[in-house]
Amino acid sequence: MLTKRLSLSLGALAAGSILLSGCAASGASIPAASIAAAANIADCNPAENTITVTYGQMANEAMAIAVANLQKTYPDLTINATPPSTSNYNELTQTIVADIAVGNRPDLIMTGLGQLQFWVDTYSPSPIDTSVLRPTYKTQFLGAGTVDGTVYLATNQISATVLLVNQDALDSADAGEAKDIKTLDDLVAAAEKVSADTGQPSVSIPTDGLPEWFSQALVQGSGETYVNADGTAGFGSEKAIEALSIWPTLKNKNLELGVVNNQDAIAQFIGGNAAFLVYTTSTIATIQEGIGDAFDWTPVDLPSVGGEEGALPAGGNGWIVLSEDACRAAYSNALIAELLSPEAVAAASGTSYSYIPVDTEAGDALLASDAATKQLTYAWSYDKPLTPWGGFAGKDTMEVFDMVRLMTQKLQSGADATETVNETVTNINQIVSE
Amino acid sequence: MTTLLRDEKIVIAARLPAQPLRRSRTNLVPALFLLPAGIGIGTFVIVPAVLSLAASFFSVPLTGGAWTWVGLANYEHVLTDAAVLQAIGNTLVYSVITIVPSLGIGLCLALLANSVARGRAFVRTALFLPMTANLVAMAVVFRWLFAFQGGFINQVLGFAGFGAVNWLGDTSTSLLTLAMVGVWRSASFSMMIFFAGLATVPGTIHEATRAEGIRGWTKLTRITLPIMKPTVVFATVVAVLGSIQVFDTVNVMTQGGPQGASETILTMTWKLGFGYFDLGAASALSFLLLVVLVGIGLIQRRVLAGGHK
Amino acid sequence: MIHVVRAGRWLVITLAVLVSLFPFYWMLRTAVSPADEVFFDGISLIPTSFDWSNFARAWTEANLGQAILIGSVMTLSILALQLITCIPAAYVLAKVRMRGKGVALAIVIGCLLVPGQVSLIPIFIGINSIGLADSLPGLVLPYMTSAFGIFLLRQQMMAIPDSLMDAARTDGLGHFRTLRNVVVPMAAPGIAAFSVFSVFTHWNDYMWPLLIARSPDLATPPLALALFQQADAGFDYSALAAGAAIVTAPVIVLFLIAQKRFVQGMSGAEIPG
Repeated sequence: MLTKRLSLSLGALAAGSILLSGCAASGASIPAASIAAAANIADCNPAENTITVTYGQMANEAMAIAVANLQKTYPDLTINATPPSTSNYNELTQTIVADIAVGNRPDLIMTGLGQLQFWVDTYSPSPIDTSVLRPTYKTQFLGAGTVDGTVYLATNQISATVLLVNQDALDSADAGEAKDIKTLDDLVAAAEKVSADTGQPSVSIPTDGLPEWFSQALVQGSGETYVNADGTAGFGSEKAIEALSIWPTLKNKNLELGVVNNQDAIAQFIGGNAAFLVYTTSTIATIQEGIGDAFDWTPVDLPSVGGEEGALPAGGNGWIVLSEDACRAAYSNALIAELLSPEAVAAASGTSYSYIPVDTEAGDALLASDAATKQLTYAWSYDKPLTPWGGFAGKDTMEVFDMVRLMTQKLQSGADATETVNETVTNINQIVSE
Repeated sequence: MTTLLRDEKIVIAARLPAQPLRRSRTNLVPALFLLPAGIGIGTFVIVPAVLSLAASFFSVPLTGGAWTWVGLANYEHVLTDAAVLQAIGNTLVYSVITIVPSLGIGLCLALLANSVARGRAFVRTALFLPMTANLVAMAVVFRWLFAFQGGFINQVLGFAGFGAVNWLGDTSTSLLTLAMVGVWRSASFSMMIFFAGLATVPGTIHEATRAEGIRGWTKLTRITLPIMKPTVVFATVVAVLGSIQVFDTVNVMTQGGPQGASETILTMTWKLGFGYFDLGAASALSFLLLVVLVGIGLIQRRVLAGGHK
Repeated sequence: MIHVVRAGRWLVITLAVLVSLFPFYWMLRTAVSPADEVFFDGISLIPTSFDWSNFARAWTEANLGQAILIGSVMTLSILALQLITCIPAAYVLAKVRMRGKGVALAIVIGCLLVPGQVSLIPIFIGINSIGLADSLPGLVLPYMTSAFGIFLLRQQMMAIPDSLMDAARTDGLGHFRTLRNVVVPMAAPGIAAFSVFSVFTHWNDYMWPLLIARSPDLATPPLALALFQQADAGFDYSALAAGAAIVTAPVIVLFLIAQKRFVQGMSGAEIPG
């Protein structure tokens, strides 16, 4: 008994002493990582290779299909693909960074599109071999995975910012049709009518989970620059500030619910308290499930200043190859090809998560299916160009996103837009230039 | 650290009436008794803490790159960063509004629950239950209870003629809301400690005080609490540590928001380390916290040891 | 007068019990309501319609059976290790005279003050280096001992009268048997209290499992619940509340069972004379 205890303790002590070497090792090995361009896959022996994939829960269905298909081609290849217990992009990134810090660098990772610049700047990923993609893949969305002309990320589950409108609430307030809301002023006017009808605030633009994305969409949708080419903040222009002032405008007219948390905001929309919700096309499926036929609702394009139709930032995720070995990089690219096959895309963008299908064949199949309600049709047929999400100088991505969150929360509570936005731009640029 | 050790010895010696301790024939068996715990504490508390202390003088990007010596720059960074200062302030406020209520309510409920005859088991069980709460699970319930629109608490307020409060979404109330949840939980824990302490008060003391006609407040402050002093010290230490190190409730209910209004030192440490991958700054902040905690520990013991004389 | 005091006492107790229990009640109350009632009507204090399928939905979709199994094994392993390491150490610190004891005690108290997050990252790196990431031992090992446990048990053992220790020595009992036959039974309430505390802490722990348990098969109850919330049921309050209730139930049951022993132990701690 005692010896057992002792051996356990000694094992623990060994663990302690390894801490030091562990730290030293992690310090030394990572930055120098030389990135292999993918080898010619025919020169590689599948039996000698194991590829490790780290991804979020939302790709579970598609991953199962892709792994099975790749193993049909390379039965001897070992694929370690287990998702961590998260579907939150920040937690996913933290997990992978921690893995790499202790020497377990995965070959293929999923990441939120907002973190592309972070990966490119910090971990020098291997460029995607676009030649493996099928002709039905919608290459227009690769723009969201491109940095300085090189495709580092294969976009997979993508989504766009959208305004969800409770048409019944509009009808009851005689506030017109959802599809006629084109400008932010239209939104305010419709909200005023609905709020006058119900005596309650009626719009929710939550600021906790995806504030950097929503604010980027508001600014770019209005035709303005959000991130400058050099990675600094570009949203200090007059028109950008006008777009962002939607929060204080709504707040000062007592039209915004003041809900910070994303899920609470969705619950308010489903429950009928919020007639207008700014959210993402990917959740349309879940929201549809929640609402059932309780009321008539419809997704419309995010309104903008003056009804401009600037390209919105793409939300969602894609695949980055981090392999340090040419053959594993080649197999990783082959797995990406399977993940982007029509069959896998249909699973990735189906009725659990309504992502925009990145494959035309998959998109057509979904649209032709019985599941295609008018709301899901909006998500599945979304065809406008999308830009990368974020793009601030990479190593500070998280800190910059926090600054944007602070800004949007100040705006949501009614702070002066010009002052708040300018202060944030200054702070971000100070960090980015350090 | 050496002063702490010396101090501890003195304080401990002062606190205990001289008791004949069991004299060991050899020190081998007691040393073996201490060994497993010693190895565990050494490996999983002291060595990592020392590594963290070392890291606080370096720039240690979790994303890779060598450690580079930066001297006190990490400390300077955290002590001048507005967000960190806000988190420190929040932690102080949170501690003040949770420690005293937790201890006061805990003691009061322990005495009350101890004094009732009928339904004692039920009362005690009911009052202990918040301790069992899984915060990830309970956060769902609390978010729903405190919801701005349609939340039960706002419905009750509305019924009583008050306006709705945006509990979790307003900078002026989010920390307060977390503190209420904190008190709900920690008062239950304090109560459990006091309850166990009350049971150690010998029955003869009760008989003696009854015979002398000492009761109520006098009995509590002159007799019961002094006897329970180890318990009181313990409950206070636990309450202070729990409040200053608050993490879970913040993490699951507000993520420190809105506008950083409910960010605390530990959530900030987590953010610096795992959010911004800046282990050096995270270590520096956690060491500042450690210094404060040790300081509080010393002051608290001085005060209590002084009061004992 | 006595009646007023008694009534006041009951009023306070009733209020306290209501406040303590209400969140649990609300959890159950939400869990039994149909999802659309929760969304569309706002729920009343007393349920009017019931939908038990919420529990089934939470159970299967969040894979709670597996999570509860993992959580139980992890929690009980930690508890066993902690009792094995803490009880002897506390005994020495409370009742044995030996050189360097003051230093040892000061170290224990010092460790009480070290916030867990300080050592989290080095421990994480260490656990990974020895290949225990994503494994049950990796979840358990860092908590093999507890400074808090040593401190709590020492406080309890201090209260054991030295006359008893002397008697044990006169009877020729060595340290092992003194510990087993005299100290452990006398310190039972403290041991029970610490066990309860340890089980709750680790059953509910979120951060360490989040770092270490990668595969969903190893998800502990809070992780499984958080994942369920992120992935499938973020705004399905009924199913979430049902999941929360399922996850909370085992600890409450354990607590109710342990409480009896705990109370027995406590009455045993009343030391005559």
